[in-house]
Amino acid sequence: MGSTVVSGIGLISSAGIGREENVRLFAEKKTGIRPIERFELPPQTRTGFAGLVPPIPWSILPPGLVSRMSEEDLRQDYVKAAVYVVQEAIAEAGIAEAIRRQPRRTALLVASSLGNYLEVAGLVKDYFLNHLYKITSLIHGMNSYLPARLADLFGIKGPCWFVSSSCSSSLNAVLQADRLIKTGVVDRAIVVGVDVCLETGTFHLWNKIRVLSHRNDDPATACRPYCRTRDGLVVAEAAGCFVLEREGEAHPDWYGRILGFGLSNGSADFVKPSPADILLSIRDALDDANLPPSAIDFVAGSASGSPACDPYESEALCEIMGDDVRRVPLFAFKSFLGSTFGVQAVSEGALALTCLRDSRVPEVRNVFEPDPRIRANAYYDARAYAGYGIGTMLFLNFGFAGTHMAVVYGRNPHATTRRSA
Amino acid sequence: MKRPALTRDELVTIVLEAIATVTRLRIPPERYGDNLFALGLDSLKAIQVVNFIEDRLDLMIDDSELKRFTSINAIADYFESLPK
Repeated sequence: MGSTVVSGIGLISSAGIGREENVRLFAEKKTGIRPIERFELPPQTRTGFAGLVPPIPWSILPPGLVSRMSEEDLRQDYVKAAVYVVQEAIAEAGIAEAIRRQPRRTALLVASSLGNYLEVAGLVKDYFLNHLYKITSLIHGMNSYLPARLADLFGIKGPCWFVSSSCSSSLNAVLQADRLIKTGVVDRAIVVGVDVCLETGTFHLWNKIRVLSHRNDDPATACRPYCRTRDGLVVAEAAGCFVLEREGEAHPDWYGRILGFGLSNGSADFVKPSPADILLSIRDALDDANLPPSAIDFVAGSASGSPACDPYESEALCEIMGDDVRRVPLFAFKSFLGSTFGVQAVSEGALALTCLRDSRVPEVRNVFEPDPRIRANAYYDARAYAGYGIGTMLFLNFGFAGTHMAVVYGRNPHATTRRSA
Repeated sequence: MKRPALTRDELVTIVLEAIATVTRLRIPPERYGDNLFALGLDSLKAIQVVNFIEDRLDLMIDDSELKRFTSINAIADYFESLPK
């Protein structure tokens, strides 16, 4: 089996639209986490901020695609965000012509935690109240709608389905895409993560689950993974896309090589992850990559910012990595993006792979006081890592309801940093 | 937050009603001191019990206080400890 690499990336986050824009804003520390204005907050809401994607005008989409999108598609940011990131990733990977020549040799997997949750009830209601002829109301609500629609828009005729496993949905889809390529079913795969799902009702429920940060006075620094003063998650919308190809077939400036996956599932408690399962997912990823823990140079932490969960992650890393845990920087991309539901592996992953490709250790964000319970290297001084080579990165992605995953990526030794902001 | 104008027995009754609604469990008095998780709740159910109590008493319980909500007696103790 040859290696699979990530050769193209598309990204929309609450910070901005587009891969380059997000990389720039990440470097400038300009987060999109801010007070909510797009929808009404329920009375007595404890948390009044989140990361909401900016309005997506259809004018930013290629005209050739817009003309083929329905009125319903253009009304939904869920669909428009997905179309945007797919076209961005395909363009960067330069695979449009390969798809056109061999449409059945390309897979397209859509991953989402909540899916088109927001639209379903409204569409069905619209059918009964206004448009009894409109059976598309049901079709649009199905989770299979978006993968099918995207495949049609981009001329893809290979495997095409929807993946959902809470916060690890996108990483699950990356795993499946990697296996489709490695087993020869397809030559390339497009993984799209999209969770544009916040409005009054869903946000109220997140408040009532009592896992959100209450730091209303300072939303931009509210997501504080590993900080002693962290007080909960910051939910955020996003859409991201990875193009996966065989190493020899991708353009030479690819981002990262997939070396191994780990997955463990234990949903005995929906809110609190099992430390044993977290440990297992990391160990499995290293085993699958056939690498010792000492080979890891950088860890992109799952870093929920939850008071209870962050120490579990740190303990798992300490147990597996031993003394190396003090050498290897542990960074929380959520400190910039917030917790992007099922998109994390392709939103945080987009920024993490950019750091890997450029061999750049980012500065620690939103840590104001170290937590004595966090013994992993989350409080490093980035200046001490100038010139530090990142050869391999461990990316962690733990999920609500207990689907925990980890992936090991290897750096492209021939990558240039021309795309860095 | 002020102490609800209820007797301890009335508070306990509301907690029992919350647990019964969320879990269908009927808790005998000798287990009012037992840890909620030992009674069969998990973290999601425990949160729903707190949400039920919040709605029933028409008040907001700060998340930082939830660590004190360990048993039926502890929840009643918490409300009794609030200023009148």
